[in-house]
Amino acid sequence: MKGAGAVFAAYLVVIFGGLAYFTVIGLLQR
Amino acid sequence: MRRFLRENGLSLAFGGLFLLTLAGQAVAGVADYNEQQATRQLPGIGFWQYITSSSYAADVTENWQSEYLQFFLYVVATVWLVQRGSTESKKVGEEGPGDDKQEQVGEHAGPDAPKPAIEGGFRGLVYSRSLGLLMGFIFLCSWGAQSIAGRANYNVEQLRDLQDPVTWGQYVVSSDFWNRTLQNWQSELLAVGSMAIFAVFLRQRGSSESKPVGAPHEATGVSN
Repeated sequence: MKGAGAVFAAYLVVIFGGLAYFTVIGLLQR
Repeated sequence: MRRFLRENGLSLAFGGLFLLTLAGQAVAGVADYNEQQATRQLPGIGFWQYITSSSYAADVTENWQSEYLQFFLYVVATVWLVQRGSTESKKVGEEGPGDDKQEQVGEHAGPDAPKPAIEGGFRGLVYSRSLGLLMGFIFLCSWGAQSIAGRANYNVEQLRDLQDPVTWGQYVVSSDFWNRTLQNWQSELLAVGSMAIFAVFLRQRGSSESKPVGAPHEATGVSN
């Protein structure tokens, strides 16, 4: 299940990385 | 490598398609944005400027939140609600969180069970609800991000139209925020509800989302 664990982690990075990115954009453009 | 790709085909294929369509949304989005700017006789913006704009951020996050709301509701609602004949449902009479034997926790856990399922306690309690908790958490974070980016985008439009900008508190009760929110929620709820009932009477040969083609309509919680 090592491979699946890597995909699982990649999804979390994309989701929370994306949310942090879009939140910062919103905060900087106030 | 081939084994890795094969064993994770579903999540890798959808992840790849997600990245492609996110890029496609950016390309189409900047063209649409610049068309609207041109009709107002305002200057256009470049691609990189667009993907760091609140317009793009609001458009992406409003769709994310509704998708995760959909999965959160589906994961939680299927604990308590059933649909007779649906592949997406437990059998009628099995509503509720189930007992330890059914859920293979504590003394009923096998040797390969995840650690928290064997140990129980607080960690076991959280782990036994971790899928719904993560989906719900991503939904709340995305909805929050939508409100922040949406407000910034709304204020860009307000200033362009020589109107006063709004605070975050004013934005989250505004018609713009709720129009963006509800237009996404309604489509998710329709799709989920229709999938639950369509799966009773229709089949997709070979799909794990479908019953075997010859299974009776009454067969509940059976899938390929």
